[in-house]
Amino acid sequence: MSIDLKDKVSIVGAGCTKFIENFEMSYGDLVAEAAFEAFEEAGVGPKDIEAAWLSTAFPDNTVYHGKAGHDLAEPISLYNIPITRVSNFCGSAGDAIQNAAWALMAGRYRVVLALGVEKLRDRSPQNSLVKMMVETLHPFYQKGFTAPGTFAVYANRMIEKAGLKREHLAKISAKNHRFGVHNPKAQYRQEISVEDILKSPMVVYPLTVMDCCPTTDGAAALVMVRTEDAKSFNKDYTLIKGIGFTCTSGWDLPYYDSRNDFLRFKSPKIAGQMAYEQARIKNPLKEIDVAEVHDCFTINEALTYEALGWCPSIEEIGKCIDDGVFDHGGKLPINTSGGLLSCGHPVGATGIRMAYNIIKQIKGKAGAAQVKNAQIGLTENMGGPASIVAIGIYGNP
Amino acid sequence: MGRFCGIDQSLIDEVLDKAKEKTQTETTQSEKENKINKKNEIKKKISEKEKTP
Repeated sequence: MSIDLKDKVSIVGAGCTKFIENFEMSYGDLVAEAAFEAFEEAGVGPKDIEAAWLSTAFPDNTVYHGKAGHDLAEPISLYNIPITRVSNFCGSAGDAIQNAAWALMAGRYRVVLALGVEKLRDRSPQNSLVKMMVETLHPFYQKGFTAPGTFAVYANRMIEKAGLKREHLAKISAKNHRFGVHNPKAQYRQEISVEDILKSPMVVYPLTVMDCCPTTDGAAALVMVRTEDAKSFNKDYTLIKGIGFTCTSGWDLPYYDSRNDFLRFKSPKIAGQMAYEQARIKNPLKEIDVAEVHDCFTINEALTYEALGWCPSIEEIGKCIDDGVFDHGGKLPINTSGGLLSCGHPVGATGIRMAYNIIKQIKGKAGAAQVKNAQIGLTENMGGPASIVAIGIYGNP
Repeated sequence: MGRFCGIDQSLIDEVLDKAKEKTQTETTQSEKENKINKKNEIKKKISEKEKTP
């Protein structure tokens, strides 16, 4: 029998650095800035933290620390407690949150920290994912395997089979860049027209430069406690209503599996069902007020609409976009932070940054991007070839 | 080009800079046109005033 998580774990402090190419701050500086912002809100210090989870997909480039928990311990003097390094590609931060939540539920700790950090802009192209694939993996199996190429396969199939148009993808990018203008912590704060997006250079057909997110430096942190203790830390706390986490395939399987039609994402569907069940959500489009989804590429956001039950079928995704269902003033505004397309994507920090932005929304502190009366928010943090997904559902007490 | 789960930011910078330049050029052009129109209106008003006895 599974434990009922709903409303039993809360976030009492959230912090996030500006996401940007940041040569002035080290990996440790980013950790400290995010952690201390979260500590301040929670009214705690490093000595109060009893366990921590460090989400980082690519360790500190300068030393070997990030491969373990050391890089969280050192910058904020977090010693003599268990620190676990979590690495699950771009879904690492969502995984760190769920590990922290379940550890609280188990009753082992009272105050825990989940922190995600990445310093990708210090890594030369010689240290990139592509280069790593070429050098460390199979001699020909992985050649030319890039992240945009991975998801362009889905985009082409959607154009061929489900009536999706390049214009629909461009509209997603335009929407997220429009939202990004209002986020002081976003890497890009500039609007761009659908026309300019369509004219931007092609990366992998049909994905143009503006259909892709950038790689970024940044960190984000959450201080979490059991809800019964939350008020003693911060009266304005945030409830975790549901968490879903799944890994639906291996790295290569989606591409060599004859059953995969490349028209749907399986992992957000499964993780979404887990989270909806915990949060008792029956009609997600109606019951969720605002969401942050993993728009590393525009096609990912489009397919998530169907996977999470916000759009009835893949054939209707284009219509939902045209109707502005997910835009400001629509039924379910998505990526009001600007998403990965505007915020950028420090891999291990992204999932916690999403929670940070959703907390702002449901507390009514999202400024010009505020969704009216937002009470329930969702985060969808994806990793690998669409195979790993962490879902979080958050709400006010 | 494909660095981690995204692309190199310099590629996006280039597109956004061009879009910004385009908007600025359009704004400057429309500002110029507005100034010319205003000048013409003033000239017109002056000449009308001069015509009235």
